[in-house]
Amino acid sequence: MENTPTPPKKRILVVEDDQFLRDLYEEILATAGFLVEKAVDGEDGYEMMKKGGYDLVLLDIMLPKMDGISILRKFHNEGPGLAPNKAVVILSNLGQESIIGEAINLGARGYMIKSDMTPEQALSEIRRYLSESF
Amino acid sequence: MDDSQKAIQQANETLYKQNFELSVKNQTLSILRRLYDVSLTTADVTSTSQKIADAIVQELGFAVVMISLLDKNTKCLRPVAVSDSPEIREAMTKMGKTLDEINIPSDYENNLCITCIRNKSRQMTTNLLDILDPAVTQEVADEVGNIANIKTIIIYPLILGDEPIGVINVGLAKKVDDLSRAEKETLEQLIGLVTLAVDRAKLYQDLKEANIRLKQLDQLKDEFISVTSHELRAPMTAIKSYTWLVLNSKEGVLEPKAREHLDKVYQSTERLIHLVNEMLDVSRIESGRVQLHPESFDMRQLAETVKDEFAAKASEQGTELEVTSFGEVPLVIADREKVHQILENLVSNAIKFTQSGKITIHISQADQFVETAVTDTGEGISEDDQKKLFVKFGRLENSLIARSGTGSGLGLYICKQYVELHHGRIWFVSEAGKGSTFTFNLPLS
Repeated sequence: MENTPTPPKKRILVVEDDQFLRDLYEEILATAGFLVEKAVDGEDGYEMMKKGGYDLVLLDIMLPKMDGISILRKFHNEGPGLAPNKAVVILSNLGQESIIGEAINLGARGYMIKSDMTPEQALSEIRRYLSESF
Repeated sequence: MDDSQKAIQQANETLYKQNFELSVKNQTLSILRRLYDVSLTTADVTSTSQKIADAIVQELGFAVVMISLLDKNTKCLRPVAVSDSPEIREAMTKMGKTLDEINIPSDYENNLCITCIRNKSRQMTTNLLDILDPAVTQEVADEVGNIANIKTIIIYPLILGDEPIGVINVGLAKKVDDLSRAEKETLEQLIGLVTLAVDRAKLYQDLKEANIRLKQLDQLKDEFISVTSHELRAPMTAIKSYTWLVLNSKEGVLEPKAREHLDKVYQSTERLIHLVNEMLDVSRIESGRVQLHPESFDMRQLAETVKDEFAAKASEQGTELEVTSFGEVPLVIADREKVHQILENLVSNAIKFTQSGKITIHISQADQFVETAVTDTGEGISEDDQKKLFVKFGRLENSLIARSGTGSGLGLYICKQYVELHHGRIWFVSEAGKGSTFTFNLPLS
């Protein structure tokens, strides 16, 4: 976990309403050498994603104010897609295939179920997504 | 007039009378047929009653027909339909009330409709107020009667079994005595059919409403499950992940006892997560929402992956785990993730029941199928328990799995459902004390 990626550090946005999980992903990712920013609800997340510049956005589905699917749909409808960010990956505890399918159709790169992964597995998945987006 | 002329006249009269009765019988047949058709068409109570009222007025030439039903909730007799004609429309305008506003409390004794229901017997009146009281005044009732040309009203109870469900009011433009015997008979015959048609419509409506409620409940259940899964999984993820971080921390060394305890916390959380996942799987299976995403893959490779996952656990308890195959095995086309889950489940069961010994995952081709067999040298399954294997929650009474309290009893049920969704089959051979083999097959294409 301590092998730091070569600079400049990759920027990751975590859109997560559960404080403990937000802290968890921040800790795991920061320890692994990434620059981590956090959004606590859907509106917050949408605004930060709009400004863009993230190498990866980890987006929850069930969020206060605006859900993850709505965020993806907004970007999808607004035209440039997810261009300001290199990749969006769903990080959620919802496992419904219909929702996963919808997220992928709206441009999400992948889907991770939080409870099914250890921190190590989550990190290696995230690294994989980061390497794929170049 | 001589005798022969008299006889001819008499014969003519008889013939005329018979002709008239025949025409009424024809009308009867025609209206009965129409009512029968109405009763067969599934529709709600209001439109069925409307069709009945209109049919009777059109076929038999009465002034008006009104059908009212007892509403158990409001304890009122409520008109649901009145036959449609220009006169009736004018009369309704004069009355200044809609049908809905002519509710009669079922304990209002001045209304003849209520008497009709109480006594379960036909009533008759020449005063329209008798069936509209207390909704209108005598003056309005008289005016309405004049506009609609109603001289007599006959009120028939609609009785189903022994239970009155409402009344049908028939308004005539003539006196009761002017009704022929045949017309009276026709009316009597109608009532039974009207009752059946209305009752059928009521049942249909109830069913429809129940169906809507069930669908709402089903949706509520789905929402409940998805919310629950989300809400349960969030804290479980936190417990699992933070425990993992402590157990795998490079800073400082955990006291052996503390490590042991934390390890148990971690395993318990994993079990809890597994249980929630299985419940979600079952809920998806039962609501038919499972989607398969078939791809072609090498079953042997998948078996090796599963072997690697369980290698540590197996060696920990001194169980040997191996993958073997017979000859060249073609690729299968299936949902890799689901098949992975099936195999994980079978191997995990085998490990639970094989404290030391050997577990073999064997892959082979059999006709148009690829067979995967998981054989263990464990304790085997008694005949009694074998029956419960693929049953939901069918936990085994005489096995470790029940004694130690792990496992939801959903695993094999899910396996069976997933295998069958792939048009495959799952079966087992077992002998108590010697071990078991669980096999499933997947079609090649």
